[in-house]
Amino acid sequence: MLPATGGRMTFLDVQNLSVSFSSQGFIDMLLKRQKTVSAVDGINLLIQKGEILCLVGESGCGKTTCGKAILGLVEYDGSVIREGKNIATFTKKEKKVLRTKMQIIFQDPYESLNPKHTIFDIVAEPLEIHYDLSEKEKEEKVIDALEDVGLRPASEFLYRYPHELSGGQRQRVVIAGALILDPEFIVADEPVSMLDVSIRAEILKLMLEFRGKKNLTYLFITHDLSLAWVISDRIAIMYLGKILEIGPSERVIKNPKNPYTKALISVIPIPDPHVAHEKILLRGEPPDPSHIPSGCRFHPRCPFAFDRCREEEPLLQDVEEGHLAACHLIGAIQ
Amino acid sequence: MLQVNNLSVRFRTKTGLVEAVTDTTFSLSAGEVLGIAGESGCGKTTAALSIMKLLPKNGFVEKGEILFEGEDMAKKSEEEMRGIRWKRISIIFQGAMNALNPVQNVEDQIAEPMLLHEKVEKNVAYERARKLLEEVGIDKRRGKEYPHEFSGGMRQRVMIAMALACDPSLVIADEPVTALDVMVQAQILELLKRLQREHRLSIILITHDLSVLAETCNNALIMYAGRVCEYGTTEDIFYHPTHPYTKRLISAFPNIEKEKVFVEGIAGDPPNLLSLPPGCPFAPRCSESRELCRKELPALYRLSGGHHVACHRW
Repeated sequence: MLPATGGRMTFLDVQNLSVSFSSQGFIDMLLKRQKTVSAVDGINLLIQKGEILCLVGESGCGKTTCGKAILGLVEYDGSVIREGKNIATFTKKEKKVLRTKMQIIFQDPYESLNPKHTIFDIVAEPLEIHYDLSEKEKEEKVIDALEDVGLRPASEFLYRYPHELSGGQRQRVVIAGALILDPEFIVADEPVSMLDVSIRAEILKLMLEFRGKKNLTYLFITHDLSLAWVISDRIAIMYLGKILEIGPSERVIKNPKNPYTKALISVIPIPDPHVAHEKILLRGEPPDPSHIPSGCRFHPRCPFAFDRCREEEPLLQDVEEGHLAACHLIGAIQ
Repeated sequence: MLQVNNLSVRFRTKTGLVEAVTDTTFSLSAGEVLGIAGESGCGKTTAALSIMKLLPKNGFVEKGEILFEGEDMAKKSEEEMRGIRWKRISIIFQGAMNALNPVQNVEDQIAEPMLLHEKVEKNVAYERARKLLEEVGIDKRRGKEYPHEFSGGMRQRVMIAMALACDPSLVIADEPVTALDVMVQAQILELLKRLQREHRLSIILITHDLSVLAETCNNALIMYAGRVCEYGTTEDIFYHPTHPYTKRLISAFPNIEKEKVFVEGIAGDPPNLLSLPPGCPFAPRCSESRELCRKELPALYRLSGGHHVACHRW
């Protein structure tokens, strides 16, 4: 295992991860036209044991696909290394064990729970797949899991259905289901963006508590940069399938280096009527991932783009300890 | 220009009468931007929709008056409302995709209210529609395109152009940026602010996002369980929040200009509007509640100027 920054050990080493989807329609098929959308385009990430790494970007930037690829839920190119071994080369048995160690929490607690199943069925399902337990053992485990996520007394929730619970309670059920197999790593895909603000903090607090108690590692996917700043150790900014900047959250927010990161930070609304900071309003919306611009993929919207940006793709380079950014301007200024 | 007095709105449902809005009073002067904030089910949208008489069929105004430019909207017939909607009060909905007609090009949709309400010549209406498109930042040559050909942000711009078609004096914006990405959200809010200045519009902005409210509004109304918690200028609300709910709600939003602190939540869930507790609806979740809070509903007290709070503890 490689030691990573901050004295933490590497939990997962993601190397050159790419995911592309075929978007070939019927007409394209008849004309034998190949059409691919490159959702994730050569991402390198060292995920450290016990950290919360936030993947932030606008819709369509590939953040969710990246999270799914790391869990092997979509096909990918590149490699995901765990304890020195490429996950793709794991045996069937090893893979099954690995699946209990890595879980995902989805955004919408209204859609991710089967409305016809009781809370008990939902939370116990992973146990049935992975272990052979008696009814009594299962019930004990489910009760523990529900109490852990703050659904107390658990007996009151066991035989209820999702529609009888509030949004916050449902997301707690989702978390209980994700935690019941004692995972080490959780991909949380916008876990609170459907919830009301007063409920949101409670759910986040719960997730953070588990990091301490169970030594969990999180890959937290969100579009909300201010939320990422509050909860994470590190932030990675994604744009059209690539990471443009990554570093300790405080540094990325307070001292951003890439013009896209700067623009994103400048438009975060501030809950203070007298703070008026200049907003960098980018023109247009992110281009379509089936037509990625040449050179730096951000150049058509970048207020500072010059010739080199149109021709050559900038690489992630060190700007400070553990803080990397991809931009030709960084070298130019220094 | 708008004075809402003791408005109560109810919904008839199979399980009983839902107290969606109760005893809500607020006002809006010309050129003012009022933010109504609160969480889902707090009655913010219902309060605003009742101004336009756009409540769902099972909803009705139980009592109160809605004085708009001196006339009580609550007493208007559907026929009379048709002459007021779009012409004098218009609305921007949250999901532009659902609010726009998918089989009509955007130019037609913007011209339609003008043709209906202002009886103008067709070419005048289309000329103005194209001008409005330019004004909201869309190339007028795209007027013949259909909603699905536009991105989410662009569709929201079309919605805004439509809302301005008949030059209304009041625009109700119901979560206009909620489903949009941060960058697009900032673009739309800037656009709204510019149009508000240029057209001297009065805007009621309904939002769950207090940061958006802080940056956009002059005055703010914080609602909880269908009732007003606190009402005042944006400065009153953010610098002197008095209701425990307002305080907790503000601290639920991170402020990147300050030191990093973990966002605060509020334990418990919002109350069931079918069976509200007898006292203050927030009392069961309030860390400062006393016995009185659980027994008696607090009145809306005036603190200073226009700053009002409904709390026994102020």
